[in-house]
Amino acid sequence: MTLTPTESLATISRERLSVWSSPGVARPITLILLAVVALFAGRLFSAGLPSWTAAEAILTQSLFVAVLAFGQGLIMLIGGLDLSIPGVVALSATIVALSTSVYGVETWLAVLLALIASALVGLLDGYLISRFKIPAFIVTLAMGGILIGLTIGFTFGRQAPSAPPILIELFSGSGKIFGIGIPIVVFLIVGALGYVIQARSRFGRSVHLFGSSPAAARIAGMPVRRIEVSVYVVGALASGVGGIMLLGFSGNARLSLGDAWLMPAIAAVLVGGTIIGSGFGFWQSTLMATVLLTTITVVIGATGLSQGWKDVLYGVIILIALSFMRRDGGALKRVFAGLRKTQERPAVQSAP
Amino acid sequence: MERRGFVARVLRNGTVRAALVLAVFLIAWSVLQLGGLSVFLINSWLLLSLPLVLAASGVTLVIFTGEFDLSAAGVVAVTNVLMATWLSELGWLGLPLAVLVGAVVGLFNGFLVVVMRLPAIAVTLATFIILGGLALVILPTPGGRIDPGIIDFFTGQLVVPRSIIFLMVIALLWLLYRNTRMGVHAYGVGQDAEALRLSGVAVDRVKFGVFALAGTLYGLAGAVLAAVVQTGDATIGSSYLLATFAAVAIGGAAFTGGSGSVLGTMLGALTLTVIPKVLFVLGISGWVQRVFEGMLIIAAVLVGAVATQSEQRKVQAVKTTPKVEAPTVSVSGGERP
Amino acid sequence: MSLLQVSGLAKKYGDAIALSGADIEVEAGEIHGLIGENGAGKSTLVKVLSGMVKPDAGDVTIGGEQLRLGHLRASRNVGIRTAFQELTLLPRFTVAENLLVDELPTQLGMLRRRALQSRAADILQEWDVTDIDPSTPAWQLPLSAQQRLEIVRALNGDPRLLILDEPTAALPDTAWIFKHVRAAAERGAAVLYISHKLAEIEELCDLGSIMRNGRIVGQFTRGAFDHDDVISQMIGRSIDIAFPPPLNRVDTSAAPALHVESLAVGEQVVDVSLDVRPGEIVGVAGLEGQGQREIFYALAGATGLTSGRVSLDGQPADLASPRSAMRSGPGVALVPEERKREGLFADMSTTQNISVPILKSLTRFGLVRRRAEQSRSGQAAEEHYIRPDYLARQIGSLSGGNQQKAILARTALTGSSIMLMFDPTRGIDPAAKLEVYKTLREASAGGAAILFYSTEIPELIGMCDRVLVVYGGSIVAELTGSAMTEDAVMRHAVGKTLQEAESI
Repeated sequence: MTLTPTESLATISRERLSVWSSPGVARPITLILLAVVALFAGRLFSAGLPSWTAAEAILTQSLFVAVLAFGQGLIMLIGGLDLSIPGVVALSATIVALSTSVYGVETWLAVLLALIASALVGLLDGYLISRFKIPAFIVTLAMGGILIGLTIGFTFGRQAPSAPPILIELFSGSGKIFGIGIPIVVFLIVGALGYVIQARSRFGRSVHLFGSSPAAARIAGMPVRRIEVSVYVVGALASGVGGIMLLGFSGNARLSLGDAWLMPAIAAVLVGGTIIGSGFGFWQSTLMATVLLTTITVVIGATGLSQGWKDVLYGVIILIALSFMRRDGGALKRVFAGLRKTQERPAVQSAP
Repeated sequence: MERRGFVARVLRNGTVRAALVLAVFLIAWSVLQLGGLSVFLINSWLLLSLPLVLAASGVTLVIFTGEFDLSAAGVVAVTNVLMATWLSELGWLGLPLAVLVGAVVGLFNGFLVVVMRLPAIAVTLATFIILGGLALVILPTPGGRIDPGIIDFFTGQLVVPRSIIFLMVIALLWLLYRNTRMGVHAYGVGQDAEALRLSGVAVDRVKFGVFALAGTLYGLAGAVLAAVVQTGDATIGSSYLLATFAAVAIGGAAFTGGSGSVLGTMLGALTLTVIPKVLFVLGISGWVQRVFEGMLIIAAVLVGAVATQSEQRKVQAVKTTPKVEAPTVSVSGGERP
Repeated sequence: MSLLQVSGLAKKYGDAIALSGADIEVEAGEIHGLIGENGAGKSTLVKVLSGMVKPDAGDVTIGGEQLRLGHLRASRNVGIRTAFQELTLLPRFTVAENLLVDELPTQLGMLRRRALQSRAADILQEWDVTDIDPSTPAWQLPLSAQQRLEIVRALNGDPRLLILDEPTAALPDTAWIFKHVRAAAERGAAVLYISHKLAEIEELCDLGSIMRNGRIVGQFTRGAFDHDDVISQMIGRSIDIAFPPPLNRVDTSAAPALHVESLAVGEQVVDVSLDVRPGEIVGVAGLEGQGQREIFYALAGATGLTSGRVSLDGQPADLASPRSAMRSGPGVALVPEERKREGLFADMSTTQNISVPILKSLTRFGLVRRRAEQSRSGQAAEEHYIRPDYLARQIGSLSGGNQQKAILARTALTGSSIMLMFDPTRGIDPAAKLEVYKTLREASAGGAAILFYSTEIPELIGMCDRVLVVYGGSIVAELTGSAMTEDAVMRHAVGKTLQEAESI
């Protein structure tokens, strides 16, 4: 089993080459380049593009998508889908806004309360999903409804309570550090932190392993139940954090605060190339996908397109991402293969 | 002991569970409603249920095959606004056209799921978003005009309120569909598609047909919704995402596929529309209703899961269809060292 | 011209050769027995004939006409009907629906329930099945009734070629099936009857073929059926590997590391007791579906056991889950049967596949120390003969042999000293096999107690200190020393009692 010198040299150069072509590197670079191209293409619709202000706005909005897409991505890695994001966002934002503005609770304590509440929601989701094998999207859909209801209940139909000033300072884009908007700094921190958690931590590794094969994870002696539940806890925590940030961004805790961000979060995960229930996906790709999607949104905004068209575009992007960004080759190849399959339905192919 | 066995056996039937839940709410409603229930009240309840019944029935048909379809809310939104805008001048013709739109969407979903082999949940989520967007484009603010003939057709009186007749027609159509080859085979797809294929059934064709049929029902649901609320509203459909699955959950169909009944889903949809009425007469505010609905969904699914646990295990044991994969593994192609 | 003519069928799954030039002919009206060890290629042949698998090469003709291969409908349309060993019943369908699922009686598109019911009743009556109610859902039937239903489905298609794959696995007696198989043959059907049970083949079949290594290696005819001859042709699969010699001697006086008493698992395992000592490799032999899988999985905590006592190093074992089994006393670890589903994390690198059990010790401040991971995984990989440049690759892109070696490396890292190896060499190339053998030897020299199941009997004989033969959910023989021959193992595996085996 010793390697001849030529062999090992060949291997090494192939390895070096493969670093650049590996999906964890190639895809995020492609996505961010596409984002830049899209931003410059915005020139066609608006004389104001590209501009530093636009770029700042894009990164600011990307932050919220990124935070929510982080949790959604982990959940999708293990085959779930979290539709409770708007609910958790509303809950956590309302807890913070209400307890600070009405009950005079310290902001840090309010934030802590909101995070605890979010984590508890995730715990309940995860328990129901892993213990009773109920499809995740049913549980989270129902849970989202419950949370919106509870949130209305908390506010007793009051006007949407306003955000504590510190959050507005932090997330509305008015605050700056060294001339850079704070949300952009936070975006970078979130990006780094997300990478560390998903790609470097034991927790992240466990999520990938479990998503890749729950059966193998179990046989290999991993605490599968605990992993599955903790994914939903972390997912809900991410939504809770997103809610607090969005509260600062928008200034008050509206019930619909999270509505507009659910689909971009799912789209970012899919465009980033995460394959549902496969354990295969890279945070850096998801992160860059959030930038790309937000850029597209901003550019479309410049064209004066209505919200309806934006939604249409999002859906189309998801569909395209689904069919093109698969490991098993391009969509066209699959279409032809698929057509052949339905025509004569050959044998279930042996080795895939 | 025997009594417990009986109760357990009854509870194993999802439709029976749904009927019990509905009965509880109906009794509560009739007791609490001042002056008792009138034909008018009942009619308005049934009318409001009708579009949800249709849409949730479509979702149920897909769930029988073991797949998911989130596009119902999108189709409902689009056909709803189409009825209020482009189709409103066409009179009667509007109705079949709206239904056709739904069928086309269903075919599109079927194509992506069956031919392209994409995950149904992601695909139909995308079509849901696209259609929701299109609805907004077609009618950015609520309004429009619905053909009065169509309104009258659905809401009018024919000895008894037409809503009752329509519900009975839907139930009847279900009983007929259940007895078609496609209806029977659709159950089989959800149980064990591979075994069904080996038994000589064209599984892909069945799946395709079910997605198309479901789309058709959503299209009809959107048109009926337009007639019932007598206006077009692009956002009205969005509540259907939760509501359709809630109806299925309360109706007792297994989300794993292969079992359940559209009758259960119909009862589930009726339950969902009677809940606000009961809470209203109790003077309970709207937010409690949302919490209550969410909890009811989870409770319904939980009870279903627990009640059928042992049955499910035995059913799984029968699924020992010959494995077609190779004994060795190759995940991606290419060079194999 | 024979009704069924199969010539030169070949099929490879990756590295594993399933069929290599199989030829077989069956006349109309003939009952043709097919026997062979596990992995001899019988089931692949069945799948090819049924249209489930497209072969790499070869032809099949039915009644002189070329069969379109790899096409389910084509096979059905020419009249091939198969009763599969793993049943194809739809669990929630009633017996009647299962019987007529592909030709539901309809009128104006509507199912005629009554006609369905009565036709199903007629069918059941025609095939002498009187104790099954056509309106019962399949899942409520006992296993033997499910099996009969599967057979009736095949019989009822008025087949030109009837394939029965282990049809008596769950049947208490053979009179019923023999009667109807003979009747089908008399009506002109060609019958391919696959069974592990030699007595059945002898009684029923006019002609027979013996399969080994993916092709037909021998024939026999009625009246000239010599058990010894058949068994010797079944065995002797070519394994041209010299087994590495033991590195240690088993201390036979040592207390068993794994002690199992009266283990029962569902209906599949009846009463199994066994001991494995430290440093010992105990083989388990058995034809498919004799309960071996359930024994291994129950001992690893992967499935629940019905009753029985299991102790590890004298202490009662906690087998609630694979995790608790691993942490119980000296620990039990399993190399699973289905490598792809239960063994691999296909998209992850080889390093990451290996390091799973030691992740916790590799973690500092919640983060996986990648250097340490690489060196620990790398070391384990080296000990298991995995080339270092494979470590960074996606394991799904490696060959079966390398995948399996990585799983063995992972199993070693669990630190469990009781290893349950379920068919670790299935479908891997000879070089990798040899390396697997070596790692087994090294592990046992290190004091591991190894329970080793293999479908290849020579492997067991070459590697094990003792071989236990399972049949019908219990251990029917324990062979040691010179009594451990392929011949003896096969005799017991095909269900002959010890006395019979000795008297021949």
